[in-house]
Amino acid sequence: MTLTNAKIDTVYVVKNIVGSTLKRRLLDMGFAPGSKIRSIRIAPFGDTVLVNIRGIEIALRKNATDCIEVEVSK
Amino acid sequence: MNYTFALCGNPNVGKTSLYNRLTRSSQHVGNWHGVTVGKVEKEVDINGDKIKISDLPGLYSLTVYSQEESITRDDILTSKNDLIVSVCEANNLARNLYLTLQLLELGVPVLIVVNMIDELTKRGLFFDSQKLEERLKVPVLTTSAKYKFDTSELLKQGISALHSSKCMVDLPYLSKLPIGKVQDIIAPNIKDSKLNKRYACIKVLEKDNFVIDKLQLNDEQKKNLNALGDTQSLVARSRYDYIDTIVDGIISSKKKEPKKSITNVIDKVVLNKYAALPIFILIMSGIFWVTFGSIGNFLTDLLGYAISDLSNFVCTILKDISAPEWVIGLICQGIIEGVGSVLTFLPQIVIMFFFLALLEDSGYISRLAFTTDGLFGKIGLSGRAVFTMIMGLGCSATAVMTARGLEDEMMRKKTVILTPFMSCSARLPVYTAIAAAFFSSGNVPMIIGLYLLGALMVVIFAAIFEKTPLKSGEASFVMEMPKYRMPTLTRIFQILLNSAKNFIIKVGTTVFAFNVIVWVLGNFSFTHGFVALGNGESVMESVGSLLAPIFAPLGFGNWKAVTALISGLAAKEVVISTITSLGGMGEIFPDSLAAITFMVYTLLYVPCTATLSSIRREVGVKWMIFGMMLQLSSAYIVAFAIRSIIAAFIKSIMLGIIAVGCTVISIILLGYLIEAIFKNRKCIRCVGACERCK
Repeated sequence: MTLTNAKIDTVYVVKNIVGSTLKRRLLDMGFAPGSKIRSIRIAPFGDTVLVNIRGIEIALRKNATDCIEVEVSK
Repeated sequence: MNYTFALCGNPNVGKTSLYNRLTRSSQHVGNWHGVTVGKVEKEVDINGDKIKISDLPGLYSLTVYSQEESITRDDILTSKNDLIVSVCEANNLARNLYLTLQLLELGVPVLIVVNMIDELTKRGLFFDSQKLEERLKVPVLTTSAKYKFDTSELLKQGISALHSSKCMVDLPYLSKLPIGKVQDIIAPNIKDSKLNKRYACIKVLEKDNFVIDKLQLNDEQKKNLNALGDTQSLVARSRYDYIDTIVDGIISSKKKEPKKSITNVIDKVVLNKYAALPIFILIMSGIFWVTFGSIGNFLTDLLGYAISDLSNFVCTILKDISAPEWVIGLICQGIIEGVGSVLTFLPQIVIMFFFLALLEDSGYISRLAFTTDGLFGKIGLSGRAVFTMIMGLGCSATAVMTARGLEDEMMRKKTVILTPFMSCSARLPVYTAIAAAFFSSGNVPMIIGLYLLGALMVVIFAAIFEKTPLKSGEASFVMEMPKYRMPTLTRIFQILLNSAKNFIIKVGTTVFAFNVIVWVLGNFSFTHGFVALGNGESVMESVGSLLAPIFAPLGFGNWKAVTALISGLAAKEVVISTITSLGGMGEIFPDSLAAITFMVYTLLYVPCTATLSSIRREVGVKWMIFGMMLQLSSAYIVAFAIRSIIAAFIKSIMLGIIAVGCTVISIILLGYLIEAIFKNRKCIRCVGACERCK
């Protein structure tokens, strides 16, 4: 599943980053495979989500969350 | 000895704050990502050594995404910096070290400065810089650039660091990467590219287009590289795995931390799906109410009395000593009254800049970007454009530069040419003075209306562009959310002082000079010398009268209004000083309707020359001219439309306003209602994962 479908306030683990242009950007900003990630809230107009990755809060638009494959943290 | 130090680090870690402390400068700082968009440098002396320190835009990786980031990469790669000061944020150590590792991979001498250490200390946390130093084998210092500290210590450490630094720090994770294989493939190309070997190999693994282009790899080589698999993820993961071992135990706590930080608590309200927008409207209304309403108005009046007293005093003396008529006119009307008419707005300008700085420093502006991203996304802009637009309320000339952080080139250009529609602080005196003359003073709703009109033009044009070849590329929005921070008292004092200083300097130079020119041209003729105002012979009058008929449909087709608009190109404040020194509002605007259209025209027409040259620098002449045409035509059309609409409803003007107000409010409410009922049937706590939302 991708981060777009993730539940709010549930901890996931980044499995893989897909896509081309955004991939490196996301990797550089801390979305490396194996990192813990949690969605915090959705923006008022939808499409934009605030997530917590490695203790940092980052806002992402849907085309970015689509690139982030996650699985539920064990 | 002469040295050069470059400050390099992630965005919003306090590089510019540190730079300001080290060099005693006052470069613009703010609590959001991407404040610094260009390189600045200054030399400092320490024990006889000269150190040139440069501040660079923040970046996350040496593989860059936007114009401003490439400035930093190019400086790191090509300038001969003796030392790179890798500025890290204490709260965010792991992600910050990701960039530091890339600097170490490159083999440049590095000094790590961990900033914002005060925020850890306040939370009762301890930072073990010695342990970090031992593990990374790189000197580490801690600091809080927000507060005053002994900068000489840092500089001395920097000098000793560059003397003792080993060129290539051993980085254990590199052995996990197929660097040898890459080197075999690209070896023939490295020499010509003049790139560092280790850096080139790693960046090829990361698929950095800049390096790949530089190396001029052939198809065969590219194919061989692709066969190595998903090396991008491998590199990132190896770096982060190594960082995890490095930072383990560096920060230790003495007491148990509260689970929820203040930032989380505030965000729960400020970023609430339904409250976010009303809160923004409330904040902006508050700012406008203080700036234009009672408080700002009171202070401006006070200064106004003082200036008119001074004017009377000086004029009486001049008359007593029977100075020539033109000298009295120039000094009293041209200089004191004209320039004074702008200077009285000092309190309101300072208040405006103070609030803008507060929006920036507190971290709220980033929340605003997050809140509005969805809306901006629909019209081909990004939430990041909010930074530029809000800065545009201060000064358009500097605001357009902040657009450099936008990743999409088309989006950046559009943002730049649309920013002047946001009403800058120089236009503030124009509205306030005219509104006070024709309506009640402190007419806040009317002024807010003008600001909203400017913002509306941005939205309308951006939406129109989306249907044309100027459509933005598929844009992303990836933005870090800073913590809420309180500016220090010193900083508040500095904001007030700086904005007052800048305004006084502008009034004393540009406004003063242009006002003298305008007054002289308005009172002298080519043939007859001093002719006094308004008898049809002065230079300005003959030129202005030629253009005046163009503006007749707008209600102010007279040479004085034209002169004011033309001289306003030097600086928008000059519009009001020109009007004053040419004889005041009454002679220029036949009725209050003309005053309204004039304000609308001033809001929308071509920005000042400083902004124009700034726009040209950012996007080139072609786009600048396109922007000017857009502004000139929309100013005329909108001003004319508003005049016609108001004229049609002039008798029931109040009714019209109420009707429009009610319609707008009901449309917004309806929009919310529809959104709530139909579009987002997802539950609030779910982004679409649960059964109902699927």
